[in-house]
Amino acid sequence: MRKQYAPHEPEEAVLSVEDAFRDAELSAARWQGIVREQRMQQVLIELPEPMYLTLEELARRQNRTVPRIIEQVIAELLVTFVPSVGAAGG
Amino acid sequence: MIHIPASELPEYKKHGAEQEIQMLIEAGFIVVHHDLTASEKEAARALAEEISKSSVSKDKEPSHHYPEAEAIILMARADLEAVELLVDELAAREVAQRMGIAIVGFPGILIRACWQGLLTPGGVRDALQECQRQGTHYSTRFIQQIYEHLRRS
Repeated sequence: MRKQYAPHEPEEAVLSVEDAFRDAELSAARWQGIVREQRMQQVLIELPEPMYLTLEELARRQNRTVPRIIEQVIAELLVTFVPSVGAAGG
Repeated sequence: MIHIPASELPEYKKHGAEQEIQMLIEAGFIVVHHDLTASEKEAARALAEEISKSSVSKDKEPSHHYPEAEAIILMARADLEAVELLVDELAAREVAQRMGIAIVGFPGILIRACWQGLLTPGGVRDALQECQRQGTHYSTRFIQQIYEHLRRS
């Protein structure tokens, strides 16, 4: 026979269906961001130490993350050097 | 890695998950914290009081909210690098959100697992039904709606 357990807080309400799906969407976005940041860090770890520290300092001053700066730099490089990308983005 | 305060352990026991939790601790997936400082415990007591006074809390006994309060306090430890707080109860969620803490409920974790193909919609339903049998307040309608939504998507 299956054992029955009593609720810990007998009266306490739990989340709604909408909350559950919102939780899942926000959590997925959160973890995607972390994975992306980890990948960036793996790339950046290959940079010589002073260059990485400079990027970190720049990010701190601009109140941004290093991955965000890298993304922007890469995007600008693409616009500069690949005209078709610039046209598509415009 | 999942971090839990030691005060959560009796709650898992009440919900019949003692054995599974012990296995996860031994496998290194869960770290149990017995090391809250006096000031962290004091802050947790104040938080438990705040949770019990929340307009959405029906359980006005602060001690019943102490494990959730300790979990919120653990989130503040920078060295743990915790990403989100796993919490289902509305009152504790409200207090944590007011503090700017990222939260996720257990159903949300299961939904994500389904989106990632780790669980089928039926698997999500089974897991929620098991929690319901063991005392978590998921209504049958809540479980069915999540199942139907996942099956359709």
